[in-house]
Amino acid sequence: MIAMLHYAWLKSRRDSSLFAFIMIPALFPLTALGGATLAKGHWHYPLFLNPQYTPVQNATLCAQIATAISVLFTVIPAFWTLRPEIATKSVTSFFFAARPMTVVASVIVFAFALSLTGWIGAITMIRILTGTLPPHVAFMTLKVAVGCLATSALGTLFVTISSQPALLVGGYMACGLLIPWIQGSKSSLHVMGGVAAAIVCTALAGFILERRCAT
Amino acid sequence: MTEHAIVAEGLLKRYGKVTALRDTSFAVAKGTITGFVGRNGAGKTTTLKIVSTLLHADDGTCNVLGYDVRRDPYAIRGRIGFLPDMFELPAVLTLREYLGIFTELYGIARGDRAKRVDAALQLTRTEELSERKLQALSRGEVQRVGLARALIHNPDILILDEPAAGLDPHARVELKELLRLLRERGKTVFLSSHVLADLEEICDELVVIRRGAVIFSGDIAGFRRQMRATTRWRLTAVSRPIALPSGIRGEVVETGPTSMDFEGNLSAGERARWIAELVAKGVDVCEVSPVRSTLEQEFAKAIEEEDEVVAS
Repeated sequence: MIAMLHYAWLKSRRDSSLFAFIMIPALFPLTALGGATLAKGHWHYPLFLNPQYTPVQNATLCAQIATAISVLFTVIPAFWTLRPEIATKSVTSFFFAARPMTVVASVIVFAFALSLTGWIGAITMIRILTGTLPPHVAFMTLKVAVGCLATSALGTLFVTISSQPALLVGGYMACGLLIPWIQGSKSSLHVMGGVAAAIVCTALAGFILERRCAT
Repeated sequence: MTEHAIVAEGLLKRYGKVTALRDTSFAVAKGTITGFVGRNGAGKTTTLKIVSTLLHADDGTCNVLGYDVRRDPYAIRGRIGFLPDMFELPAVLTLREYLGIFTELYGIARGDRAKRVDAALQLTRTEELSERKLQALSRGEVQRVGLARALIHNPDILILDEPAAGLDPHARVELKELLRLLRERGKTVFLSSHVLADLEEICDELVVIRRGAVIFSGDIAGFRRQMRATTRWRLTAVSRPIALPSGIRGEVVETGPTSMDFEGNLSAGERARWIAELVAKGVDVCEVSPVRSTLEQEFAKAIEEEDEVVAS
């Protein structure tokens, strides 16, 4: 798996997609908080989304939006990273050295890691710009991690079904259902449900990928 | 007793209503170069995919290095190097980086990785491309990169689907040299190709497939024997027309002003009698020699004969 992760890292670093995949969620708070503050006509620190809210409330609201963006955005690196190899079936060259399930799991871990990094960047940005952190940030991070894992597995499953970029829309629609469920989860049982969904998607993606490349 | 690297028996593969392979059986001896010949759509790629465990046959068995392709695909995959007929390379990586990834994937020890990459680059004569991005390579260079990738883990068997496709004549000569070298090192090479002249030069054995069925499996001399019961002889004189003496069995297939092509089993005595008779008639005979047909002609003949059988 390390070799596959190295491949994905090298490839996305070279085509600069790595930068985009991390920075888009990470920079969201800057654009949202900066834009909302400037819209009120004057520069004010701490920055805010709503001037009526306290800094903690602003940080919480911004973190909730950042969560949705991070989870949703995970579909893109998961779908995109091995898309050309899957479309041309060149991915089979990896099958002589690694099992299809390992290839699929590597893509999922890669996209998950990028999104989580992006989210951590976003939380850091929120801390800097609002001067505070949202409450229960550790549990929120856990929920984001599970959400990113599930959407990463979903994005990978979609690309194994078809590498047509239009299928990203399907991935987004599915994530649209997942996000309220993840955001609203209050117990670890809900969180485990996300992990189970990721495992099912991984198994399905590995199976479909091997079948698809055999034709 | 010959040890076999690949043994396929009664392979059957259907894609919907189309039967790609039917009762396909052949064997590839260890340490040989075996050519796999057939027209487009004959079932070559399907067979190679089954042998390399990427595709399951609907029926029949296939063993590679003693492992069943269906039961132990992962035991086989690590021991073969496979070059597909068409493949893409990641445009943004350099060749050295790309091969380096495969040394990692194959679990080669960290300290040996650079050496393995260098060895593969040297074998495929791609050293000068090593720092170049893969997007900047020509079709022939891409093919050589594919070969380097297939060789990186020092596999026991190389399965190559049309490896000469897109190669210029010079690169083709280099490929043949490389395959000979690999055979000297005890590797087994199973390759499909349309360039039959190349196969004739390097192959020890041949598997000929037609419409999903193997019509010949064995050495090239055996293929010639199977295809031709008679030899074609050419007699050339200086100036006068040539006549065939009586009592010789065979067929005149072509005549020119000073030459004649004759198909039949001429013994040395019969050849001597023919020359003597012509000399007696005042014909200055230059040469009587067997005409060696190319593998391409033999293959065309084999296909033609099969077509006739099917038509009848």
